[in-house]
Amino acid sequence: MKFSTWTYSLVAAVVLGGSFVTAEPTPQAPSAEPTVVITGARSWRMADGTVHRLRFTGFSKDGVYPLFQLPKGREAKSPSAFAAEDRAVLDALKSGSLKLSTAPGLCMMPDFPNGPIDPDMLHFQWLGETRTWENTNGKRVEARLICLTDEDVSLLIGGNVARVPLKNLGSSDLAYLERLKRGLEPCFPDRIAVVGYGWERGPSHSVYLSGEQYVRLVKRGGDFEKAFAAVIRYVSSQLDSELWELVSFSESLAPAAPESNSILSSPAKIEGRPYMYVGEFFLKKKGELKSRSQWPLNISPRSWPGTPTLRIYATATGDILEPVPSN
Amino acid sequence: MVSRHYLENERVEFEISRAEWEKAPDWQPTFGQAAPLSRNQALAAAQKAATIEKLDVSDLSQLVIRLEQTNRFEKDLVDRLPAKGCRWFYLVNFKGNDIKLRAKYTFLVTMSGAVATKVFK
Repeated sequence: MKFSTWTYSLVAAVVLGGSFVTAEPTPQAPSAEPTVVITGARSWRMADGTVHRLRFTGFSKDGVYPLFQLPKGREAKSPSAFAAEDRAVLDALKSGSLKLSTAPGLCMMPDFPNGPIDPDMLHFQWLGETRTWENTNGKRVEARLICLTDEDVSLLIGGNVARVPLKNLGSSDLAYLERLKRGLEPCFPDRIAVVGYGWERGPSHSVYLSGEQYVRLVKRGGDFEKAFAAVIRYVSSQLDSELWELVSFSESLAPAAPESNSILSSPAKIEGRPYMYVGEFFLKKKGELKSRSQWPLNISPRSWPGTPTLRIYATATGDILEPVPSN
Repeated sequence: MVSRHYLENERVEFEISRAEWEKAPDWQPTFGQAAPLSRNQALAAAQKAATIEKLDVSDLSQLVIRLEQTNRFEKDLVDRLPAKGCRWFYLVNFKGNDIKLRAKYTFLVTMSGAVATKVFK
């Protein structure tokens, strides 16, 4: 989607701290004025001179009081408590000349924490897709958007979060953020547990899909035969055929993906569930020895009373999924 | 009887005639050898059998389809099976997450597409 110069001039007004409502359309402006979309998460200037980092979420039912999301819930504030320029922002939101983003799953939380992120927190977090970001100095970084406000963007780079002011981003990044705010670019859960399995009297493991993979596989639907062929091919390529015996191969729908965290983000959920496949194999002694080093998590523990068993997970596209230890 | 399952305190035995069992072509799961009956064919056969039993199987959200063979540790069972035929079959379970309904909603489909009779013990 292309954005007009008019849109960019408004974006620039936001980025540079100017007022949204006083931005002048350029001569190239189209006849139908595009609505400016904001996150509502920003520094709000109050009448008493203080500045509060808050996320505006809408108006009270009577349309009078602006509501802000706080950790304990939504709180109404009096419009008169705001400085004139931000009262104008609230008026623009009320009149519709400014629109609040409702992009599904987009995190719009002021002051998203910087630095290393707790992997457990990522379970509830929806992210933008992986892309290359470029700042105004030409420095590039591969990252995923984790949170967006009207003033900055928090990027997940490896296991760290870095907050970057919007004014430091290049035009393609700003255009991406505009599309994102309008729901034209997707956000996904970081990763989704599709298998949780525990060996009796032994360790347990989980299998995850990235949010993108999960959505792709929901659209793809099932393919029992493809997954079956992939699992047999995979095990055959690693172990001689006399070292293993297939016990069963099963198909079921994966658990539903978690919904987005409604305190941090716009509500979002993924409709549908992908099919998951698991092949169970009995192993002969020699096969067991090799498998223990190759698939330490997929194989039954030494304390397992029955025949050594191997579990191999696959998707409908024939991808083999590796388990990770469960907490 | 070709298979015996313990589903939530219920023992379910699946029975099929020798003639029907022997119709299924021999098959072993090896690389490059697709099963003689596809998953969709097995599902269609199970759906048809469920309809005859007046079971509502329109909701497939709990569907679990499992390809397996007669439990080799059940010697009494394995020894009585005819040499001809295929020991692999599909178990189609329409209520995979519902432990109370699992037995009633499970169907065994042979590689010839026949649905076994369920006997609850």
